[in-house]
Amino acid sequence: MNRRQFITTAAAAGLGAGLLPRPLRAAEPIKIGVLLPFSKSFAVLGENTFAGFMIGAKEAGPAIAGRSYVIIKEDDTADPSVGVSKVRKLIEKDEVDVIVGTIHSGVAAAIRNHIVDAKKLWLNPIATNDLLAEQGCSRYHFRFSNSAWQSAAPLGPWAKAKLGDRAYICVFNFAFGQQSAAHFKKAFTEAGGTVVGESFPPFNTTNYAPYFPAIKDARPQFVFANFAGSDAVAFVKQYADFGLKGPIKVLGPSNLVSEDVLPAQGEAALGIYSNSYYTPSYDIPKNRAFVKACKEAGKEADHFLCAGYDSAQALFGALRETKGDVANTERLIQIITDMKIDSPRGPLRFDPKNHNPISDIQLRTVQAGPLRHVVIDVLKDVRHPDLGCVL
Amino acid sequence: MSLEAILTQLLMGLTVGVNLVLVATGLTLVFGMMGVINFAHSALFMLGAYAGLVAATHLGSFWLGLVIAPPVIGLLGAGMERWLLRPLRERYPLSHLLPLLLTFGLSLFFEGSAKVIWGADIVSLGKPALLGGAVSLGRITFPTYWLFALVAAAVLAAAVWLVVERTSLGLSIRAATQDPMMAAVLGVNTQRLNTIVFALGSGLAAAAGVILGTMTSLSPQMGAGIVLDAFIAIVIGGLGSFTGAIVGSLLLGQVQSFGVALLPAFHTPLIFLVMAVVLVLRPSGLFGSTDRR
Repeated sequence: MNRRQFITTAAAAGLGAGLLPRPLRAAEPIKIGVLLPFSKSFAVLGENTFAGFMIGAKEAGPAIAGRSYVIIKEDDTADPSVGVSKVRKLIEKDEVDVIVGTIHSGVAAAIRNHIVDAKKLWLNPIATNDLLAEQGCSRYHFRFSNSAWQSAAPLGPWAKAKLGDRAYICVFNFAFGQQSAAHFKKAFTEAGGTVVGESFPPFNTTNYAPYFPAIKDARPQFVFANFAGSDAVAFVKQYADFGLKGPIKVLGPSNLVSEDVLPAQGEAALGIYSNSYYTPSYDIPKNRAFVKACKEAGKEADHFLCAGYDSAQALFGALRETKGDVANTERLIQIITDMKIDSPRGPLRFDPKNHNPISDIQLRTVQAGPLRHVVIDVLKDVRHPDLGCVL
Repeated sequence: MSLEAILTQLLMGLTVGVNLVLVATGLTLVFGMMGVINFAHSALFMLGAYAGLVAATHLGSFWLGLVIAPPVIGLLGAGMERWLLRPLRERYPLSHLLPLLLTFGLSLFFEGSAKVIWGADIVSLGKPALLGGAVSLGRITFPTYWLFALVAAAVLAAAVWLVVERTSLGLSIRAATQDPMMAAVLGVNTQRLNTIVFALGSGLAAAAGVILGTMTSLSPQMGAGIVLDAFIAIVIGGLGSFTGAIVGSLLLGQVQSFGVALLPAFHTPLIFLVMAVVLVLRPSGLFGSTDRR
């Protein structure tokens, strides 16, 4: 069923829904609303997350306990205001049973109340906003990636032990960069390290060279860097061009050298340390099968596909257990809270205190031939701290 | 700041500054002659980088990419002027708004086309092995490619300067940027000159696209930032003035480089502060003539 056909049937079902007796309504297909950025600068990330979700859906089959399901896609364009209107459309017009989304932290914050007020189950594959595990947490919300805290703070003690005592922080100047810098700085200094300098290049900087002499003069042992997209490409290439990479190591969250920028960075990325909850080369049977399934879907496995896939595993796993009954949201929440997901990243479960994932965090380094991440260390069962969350 | 850091910062600013000259030249000359701010300039910069990438990938040589992209984009620019801008300006000779809207529309068209043809993925133009590594210059080491970018852009800019300042074609261009009407009355074929200047400006932007694209990455929106910088540079230097474009660009390169080093939290507003101060002291820019427009 393509989208237009679906809208027609959905509209017909919507009109008739009030008049039909209850048992008939239960036989309607389950409606899954997917809200992701499918255009603009996050388009590739949205497509990959969706592809991962569809791999999980394919494994689950076209029906759960005899009940079929439909997937309604909406494009939030990584813009909070668009996200809000699209999520309202999914809830009010399409009357979806569950919402899967999104990537941009600002969109996640903007749509939070709309989903929670409507009491819909919300599976968030990527958006890293810390608030969703703190004051903004909700019993309806489950996250499948990491919080910003999880992607930065655990690196502090690790870096102190493995990379050295003196760190320089260089991150892009907006919420995600600043949050990660603050988390890293706190954890690193608590572990006994010293931050010898900081700089905050603006978003969309193309020339990082003017920042380098100050880094050199501060004589750090490594730089904690957080950039994404074309910013990450320019930073990594220029850092290598200016010969800093040899003497001063680089460490950052996965997006610094993720699969969407690594080909463009090329050799300049060699030796850069990063962390992620998922690494395509991680050698466990579940992941080998997942990487193969991604290839068959025409994709290279990455952490977006993994998180999308795990969202589908959780959703369809819970629906199997309720025999396709999607009306009892509380029961679905309970099942997912207790679920142990066999993820390509290793075992995945949720923190009963904030519904944030508890999973291993892999420390990787970029190696050549072909360019790839190699896991060098695994931090077990990293969980977001308890900070003001009441479910 | 150590002496090494100061010298490095100076060279970095110079590298960016001379490349900015290449981008700013087209903007300022087109404005001087036609009174049009060419909004499609950022798209021409971007298309230059992609043309370089396509040529370099298919022919297996960065150098061929660098040599082929400017004339191709130059022709595209000439075509834009000859078959789109000129008919529009002939029909509505008094409108400054319509040519502006046309170039804005073209920039959207080019960016959209680039997305369709090459996708939104971030891609990279590899530098040749010859330009890898770094060179020692006295007390500092500087990346070979950045030095090449500095020298190549400086040579190109110097060549354009010679043409503009020392040839009869350049004399006509300068005359036409000062006063197109008077130049036409004195027998200068300003229509042909418009096409030439558009082609020249587009080609130079394309060259900068290839040179700078190699330092960063290629994406359909890559031109936006640099053309904004070039615009600031020509406003500082004086809209329509070629000398002003050179001085403004070199100044802006240094302000950016040392601004980051000395006032890290304040360097973005600093650039606009410099522009504001210049405009207060000299409302038509450093080299703009005060009696025009």
